[in-house]
Amino acid sequence: MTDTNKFKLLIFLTTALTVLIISFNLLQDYLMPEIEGYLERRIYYERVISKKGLSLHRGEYWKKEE
Amino acid sequence: MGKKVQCELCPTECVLEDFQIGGCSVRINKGGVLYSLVYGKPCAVVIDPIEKKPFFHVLPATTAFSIATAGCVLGCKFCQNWQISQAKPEETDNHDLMPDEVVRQALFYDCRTITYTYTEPTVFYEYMYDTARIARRYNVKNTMHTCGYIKEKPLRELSKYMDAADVDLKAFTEDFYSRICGGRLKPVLDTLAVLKGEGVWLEITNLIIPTLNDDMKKIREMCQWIVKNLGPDVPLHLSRFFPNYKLKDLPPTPLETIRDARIAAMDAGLKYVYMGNIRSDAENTYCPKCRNLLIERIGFFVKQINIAGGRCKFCGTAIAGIWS
Repeated sequence: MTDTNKFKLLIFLTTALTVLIISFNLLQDYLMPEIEGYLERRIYYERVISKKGLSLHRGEYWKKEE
Repeated sequence: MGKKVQCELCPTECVLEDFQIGGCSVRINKGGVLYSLVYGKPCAVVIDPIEKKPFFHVLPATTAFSIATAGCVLGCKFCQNWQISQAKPEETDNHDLMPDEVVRQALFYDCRTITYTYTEPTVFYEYMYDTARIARRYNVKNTMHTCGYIKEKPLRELSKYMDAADVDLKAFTEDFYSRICGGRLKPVLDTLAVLKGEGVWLEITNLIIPTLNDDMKKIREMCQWIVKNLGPDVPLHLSRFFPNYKLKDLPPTPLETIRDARIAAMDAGLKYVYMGNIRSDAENTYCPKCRNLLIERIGFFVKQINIAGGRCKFCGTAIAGIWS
């Protein structure tokens, strides 16, 4: 690989990393709590509720949120 | 991640994300479908005198097969059963008792009624509803002790199978419901009106708590509302408060307060006003016309009944209630 190609690759990787870091900083406030909350709830369900032998009976009187 | 769902069972109307559990602790959104976690899983199964519910005008001196699951739609700071009502179903010791088995056991133990009680039966709505439908087929009556915090549609559906309801009217101010219970008064009043309209026998319990809901003016207003909207035949149980749960710093209700409230209720036109959690002759039922003693009680024990065919044995006046 020539020095020019190495330099181009370095520029590409640096740009990609910068974009990723900026995107993460911009979106983490929106995405992270949702994902964290979901994982917490899911783990609690799998580790505690599902092992307690509780039933899952389809409920009446609810609707899907639009 | 699944879709959000909105529960439409109680006026809280929780919006739940995937794997989120409602404020009642017993309803979960799993993959965009709402499930009950307590169907067939009661944490309390007890045979009680029906007077303990309290029902004073429903089959006196009989027993009630009483069941409850964990959970509640409210969070009253004075709750007498907070150990189970404020618990999650994964924290309580639960029985395996499907609806047909509840009815079979009620029949086996010679219970004339099944009562959905101790915690708030709205949270185990599907379990209660299915049990009530089977019980009706076997001529076992269905009764519930409820806070009345339920939406109209499920309540009307349930009313088809419910014979009697004892509703806790905890106070007559929105402020009390909001600060002390985490709910609202209006839906409870709506529930009372719906139950009356659907022909469900009604009794009302009002726990009088010093400094929080012992204002005689408000008690009078409440009694006037009952007479106007539900009629004078609805029995009212004025109960004495004892320090409990998050209100341990308050004293028990003074006897004079309960007596004054009873006088106010009778002045408002209510025919049957009882004092609860106090041994007195205000536990007895008297004929509203001839004033003779109809049912003598000591606590939950019935000593004598002078009602025959739903009428006073002495003067023949019809006494409102379910007597056979």
